[in-house]
Amino acid sequence: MTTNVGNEIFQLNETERTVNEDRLIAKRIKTEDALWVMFCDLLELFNVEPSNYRFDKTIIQTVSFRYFRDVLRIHCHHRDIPYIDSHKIAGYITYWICKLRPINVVHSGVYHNNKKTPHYINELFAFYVAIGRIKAVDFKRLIKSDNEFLEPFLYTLKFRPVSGDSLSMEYYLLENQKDCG
Amino acid sequence: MYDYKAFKEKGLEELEELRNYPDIQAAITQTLHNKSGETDYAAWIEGAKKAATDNYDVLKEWIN
Repeated sequence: MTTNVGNEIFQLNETERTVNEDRLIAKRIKTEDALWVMFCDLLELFNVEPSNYRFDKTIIQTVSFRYFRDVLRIHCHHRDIPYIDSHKIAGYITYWICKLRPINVVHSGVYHNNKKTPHYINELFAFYVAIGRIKAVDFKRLIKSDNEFLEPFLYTLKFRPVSGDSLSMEYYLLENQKDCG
Repeated sequence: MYDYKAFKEKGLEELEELRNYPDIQAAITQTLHNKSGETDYAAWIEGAKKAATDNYDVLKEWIN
Protein backbone atom coordinates (compact mmCIF):
# COMPACT_ATOMS: atom_id res chain seq x y z
CA MET A 1 0.00 0.00 0.00
CA THR A 2 1.30 3.46 -0.83
CA THR A 3 0.27 6.31 1.37
CA ASN A 4 0.87 9.91 0.41
CA VAL A 5 1.45 12.04 3.46
CA GLY A 6 2.66 15.57 2.92
CA ASN A 7 5.71 15.41 0.70
CA GLU A 8 6.70 11.92 1.69
CA ILE A 9 5.66 8.58 0.31
CA PHE A 10 5.56 5.70 2.73
CA GLN A 11 5.44 2.09 1.76
CA LEU A 12 3.41 -0.16 4.04
CA ASN A 13 2.97 -3.80 3.22
CA GLU A 14 -0.37 -5.53 3.82
CA THR A 15 0.67 -7.07 7.14
CA GLU A 16 1.95 -3.78 8.52
CA ARG A 17 -1.25 -2.07 7.46
CA THR A 18 -3.47 -4.68 9.13
CA VAL A 19 -1.44 -4.64 12.34
CA ASN A 20 -1.54 -0.86 12.44
CA GLU A 21 -5.28 -0.76 11.85
CA ASP A 22 -6.04 -3.43 14.46
CA ARG A 23 -3.86 -1.62 16.97
CA LEU A 24 -5.57 1.64 16.17
CA ILE A 25 -9.06 0.20 16.56
CA ALA A 26 -8.13 -1.34 19.93
CA LYS A 27 -6.76 1.98 21.14
CA ARG A 28 -9.82 3.83 19.89
CA ILE A 29 -12.09 1.55 21.86
CA LYS A 30 -9.96 1.93 24.98
CA THR A 31 -10.12 5.70 24.57
CA GLU A 32 -13.92 5.64 24.33
CA ASP A 33 -14.13 3.57 27.51
CA ALA A 34 -11.61 5.77 29.30
CA LEU A 35 -13.56 8.92 28.35
CA TRP A 36 -16.73 7.44 29.77
CA VAL A 37 -14.98 6.44 33.02
CA MET A 38 -13.44 9.90 33.32
CA PHE A 39 -16.86 11.52 32.84
CA CYS A 40 -18.24 9.41 35.70
CA ASP A 41 -15.21 10.23 37.88
CA LEU A 42 -15.63 13.94 37.20
CA LEU A 43 -19.27 13.88 38.31
CA GLU A 44 -18.42 11.90 41.42
CA LEU A 45 -15.42 14.02 42.37
CA PHE A 46 -17.47 17.24 42.29
CA ASN A 47 -20.77 15.75 43.50
CA VAL A 48 -22.63 16.52 40.30
CA GLU A 49 -26.05 14.91 39.91
CA PRO A 50 -25.64 12.50 36.95
CA SER A 51 -29.32 12.51 35.97
CA ASN A 52 -29.05 16.15 34.90
CA TYR A 53 -26.64 15.30 32.10
CA ARG A 54 -26.63 12.94 29.16
CA PHE A 55 -23.38 11.58 27.79
CA ASP A 56 -23.85 10.77 24.12
CA LYS A 57 -21.77 7.66 23.48
CA THR A 58 -22.17 7.90 19.73
CA ILE A 59 -20.57 11.31 19.80
CA ILE A 60 -17.78 10.05 22.03
CA GLN A 61 -17.04 7.36 19.42
CA THR A 62 -16.69 10.13 16.87
CA VAL A 63 -14.48 12.13 19.24
CA SER A 64 -12.22 9.11 19.63
CA PHE A 65 -12.17 8.40 15.91
CA ARG A 66 -11.34 11.99 14.95
CA TYR A 67 -8.74 12.30 17.67
CA PHE A 68 -7.00 9.17 16.41
CA ARG A 69 -7.02 10.48 12.85
CA ASP A 70 -5.00 13.45 14.16
CA VAL A 71 -2.67 11.13 16.08
CA LEU A 72 -2.16 8.96 13.00
CA ARG A 73 -1.40 11.98 10.87
CA ILE A 74 1.35 13.05 13.29
CA HIS A 75 2.75 9.52 13.44
CA CYS A 76 2.94 9.44 9.64
CA HIS A 77 4.60 12.84 9.50
CA HIS A 78 7.14 12.18 12.27
CA ARG A 79 8.13 8.61 11.50
CA ASP A 80 11.27 8.72 13.65
CA ILE A 81 9.45 9.87 16.81
CA PRO A 82 7.83 6.91 18.58
CA TYR A 83 5.45 8.78 20.87
CA ILE A 84 3.53 12.00 20.53
CA ASP A 85 3.95 14.63 23.22
CA SER A 86 1.26 14.50 25.89
CA HIS A 87 0.48 18.22 25.52
CA LYS A 88 -0.28 17.62 21.87
CA ILE A 89 -2.55 14.71 22.72
CA ALA A 90 -4.24 16.90 25.33
CA GLY A 91 -4.73 19.64 22.75
CA TYR A 92 -6.32 17.34 20.16
CA ILE A 93 -8.65 15.58 22.57
CA THR A 94 -9.74 18.97 23.97
CA TYR A 95 -10.41 20.24 20.47
CA TRP A 96 -12.65 17.33 19.51
CA ILE A 97 -14.60 17.23 22.78
CA CYS A 98 -15.31 20.95 22.52
CA LYS A 99 -16.12 20.72 18.82
CA LEU A 100 -18.49 17.74 19.02
CA ARG A 101 -19.86 18.37 22.54
CA PRO A 102 -20.80 14.88 23.79
CA ILE A 103 -22.53 16.07 26.99
CA ASN A 104 -26.05 17.50 26.96
CA VAL A 105 -28.13 19.06 29.70
CA VAL A 106 -31.22 16.94 30.35
CA HIS A 107 -33.11 19.16 32.80
CA SER A 108 -32.85 22.90 32.25
CA GLY A 109 -33.62 23.41 35.93
CA VAL A 110 -29.98 22.63 36.57
CA TYR A 111 -29.18 26.18 35.45
CA HIS A 112 -30.78 27.48 38.64
CA ASN A 113 -28.13 25.89 40.85
CA ASN A 114 -24.88 26.97 39.21
CA LYS A 115 -25.14 28.42 35.73
CA LYS A 116 -21.46 27.85 35.08
CA THR A 117 -21.58 24.07 35.30
CA PRO A 118 -24.17 23.26 32.61
CA HIS A 119 -22.97 26.15 30.49
CA TYR A 120 -19.39 24.87 30.39
CA ILE A 121 -19.85 21.16 31.10
CA ASN A 122 -18.19 20.00 27.85
CA GLU A 123 -15.29 22.42 28.24
CA LEU A 124 -14.79 21.40 31.88
CA PHE A 125 -14.81 17.75 30.88
CA ALA A 126 -12.29 18.44 28.10
CA PHE A 127 -10.02 20.27 30.55
CA TYR A 128 -10.31 17.40 33.06
CA VAL A 129 -9.39 14.81 30.41
CA ALA A 130 -6.53 16.90 29.04
CA ILE A 131 -4.74 17.66 32.30
CA GLY A 132 -5.18 14.01 33.19
CA ARG A 133 -3.35 12.94 30.05
CA ILE A 134 -0.43 15.23 30.85
CA LYS A 135 -0.35 14.04 34.44
CA ALA A 136 -0.49 10.39 33.34
CA VAL A 137 3.06 10.58 31.99
CA ASP A 138 4.38 11.34 35.47
CA PHE A 139 2.17 11.83 38.52
CA LYS A 140 4.74 14.27 39.91
CA ARG A 141 3.97 16.76 37.14
CA LEU A 142 1.99 19.72 38.42
CA ILE A 143 -0.54 21.38 36.15
CA LYS A 144 -1.89 24.10 38.34
CA SER A 145 -4.61 26.43 37.16
CA ASP A 146 -6.28 29.43 38.74
CA ASN A 147 -9.40 31.39 37.92
CA GLU A 148 -7.45 33.97 35.97
CA PHE A 149 -6.51 31.22 33.55
CA LEU A 150 -9.57 29.01 33.69
CA GLU A 151 -12.28 31.60 33.05
CA PRO A 152 -10.91 32.96 29.76
CA PHE A 153 -9.75 29.49 28.78
CA LEU A 154 -13.24 27.98 29.12
CA TYR A 155 -14.75 30.97 27.34
CA THR A 156 -12.26 30.58 24.50
CA LEU A 157 -12.96 26.87 24.21
CA LYS A 158 -16.68 27.52 23.92
CA PHE A 159 -16.87 30.63 21.78
CA ARG A 160 -13.62 31.06 19.88
CA PRO A 161 -12.12 29.09 17.02
CA VAL A 162 -9.02 27.30 18.28
CA SER A 163 -6.94 24.46 16.90
CA GLY A 164 -5.64 21.36 18.62
CA ASP A 165 -2.10 22.60 18.06
CA SER A 166 -2.71 25.98 19.67
CA LEU A 167 -4.39 24.25 22.61
CA SER A 168 -1.38 21.98 23.04
CA MET A 169 0.76 25.09 23.41
CA GLU A 170 -1.68 26.47 26.01
CA TYR A 171 -1.29 23.30 28.05
CA TYR A 172 2.47 23.40 27.66
CA LEU A 173 2.54 26.99 28.94
CA LEU A 174 0.12 26.16 31.76
CA GLU A 175 2.39 23.42 33.00
CA ASN A 176 5.56 25.46 32.58
CA GLN A 177 4.22 28.81 33.69
CA LYS A 178 6.64 31.13 35.37
CA ASP A 179 5.85 33.97 37.70
CA CYS A 180 6.56 37.00 35.53
CA GLY A 181 5.28 39.50 38.11
CA MET B 1 18.87 44.06 -15.62
CA TYR B 2 18.49 41.74 -12.66
CA ASP B 3 19.97 38.31 -13.24
CA TYR B 4 16.91 36.19 -12.47
CA LYS B 5 18.55 33.05 -13.82
CA ALA B 6 21.46 33.33 -11.39
CA PHE B 7 19.06 34.18 -8.58
CA LYS B 8 17.04 31.04 -9.29
CA GLU B 9 20.12 28.84 -9.53
CA LYS B 10 21.57 30.20 -6.29
CA GLY B 11 18.33 29.33 -4.54
CA LEU B 12 18.43 25.80 -5.89
CA GLU B 13 22.02 25.46 -4.68
CA GLU B 14 21.00 26.63 -1.23
CA LEU B 15 18.20 24.08 -1.17
CA GLU B 16 20.64 21.38 -2.19
CA GLU B 17 23.01 22.46 0.56
CA LEU B 18 20.23 22.28 3.14
CA ARG B 19 19.56 18.68 2.13
CA ASN B 20 23.01 17.81 3.43
CA TYR B 21 21.72 18.49 6.94
CA PRO B 22 18.76 16.14 7.26
CA ASP B 23 18.67 16.33 11.06
CA ILE B 24 17.59 20.00 11.05
CA GLN B 25 13.95 19.03 10.89
CA ALA B 26 14.40 16.41 13.61
CA ALA B 27 16.09 18.98 15.85
CA ILE B 28 13.18 21.36 15.40
CA THR B 29 10.46 18.84 16.14
CA GLN B 30 12.19 16.80 18.81
CA THR B 31 11.70 19.13 21.75
CA LEU B 32 7.94 18.86 21.90
CA HIS B 33 7.72 15.17 21.14
CA ASN B 34 9.91 13.41 23.62
CA LYS B 35 7.90 13.71 26.79
CA SER B 36 5.23 11.12 26.30
CA GLY B 37 4.96 7.37 25.96
CA GLU B 38 2.54 4.65 24.98
CA THR B 39 -0.88 5.67 26.27
CA ASP B 40 -1.56 4.03 29.62
CA TYR B 41 -5.33 4.30 29.99
CA ALA B 42 -5.43 3.45 33.69
CA ALA B 43 -2.77 6.12 34.32
CA TRP B 44 -4.79 8.59 32.24
CA ILE B 45 -7.91 7.99 34.33
CA GLU B 46 -5.90 8.19 37.55
CA GLY B 47 -3.96 11.21 36.28
CA ALA B 48 -7.22 13.07 35.58
CA LYS B 49 -8.37 12.50 39.16
CA LYS B 50 -5.04 13.61 40.57
CA ALA B 51 -4.81 16.67 38.32
CA ALA B 52 -8.39 17.65 39.20
CA THR B 53 -7.51 17.25 42.88
CA ASP B 54 -4.53 19.59 42.37
CA ASN B 55 -7.01 22.12 40.96
CA TYR B 56 -9.92 21.22 43.19
CA ASP B 57 -10.57 24.67 44.68
CA VAL B 58 -10.69 26.50 41.38
CA LEU B 59 -12.65 23.77 39.61
CA LYS B 60 -15.15 23.50 42.44
CA GLU B 61 -16.31 27.04 41.65
CA TRP B 62 -17.12 25.94 38.14
CA ILE B 63 -18.51 22.50 38.60
CA ASN B 64 -20.86 21.34 41.29
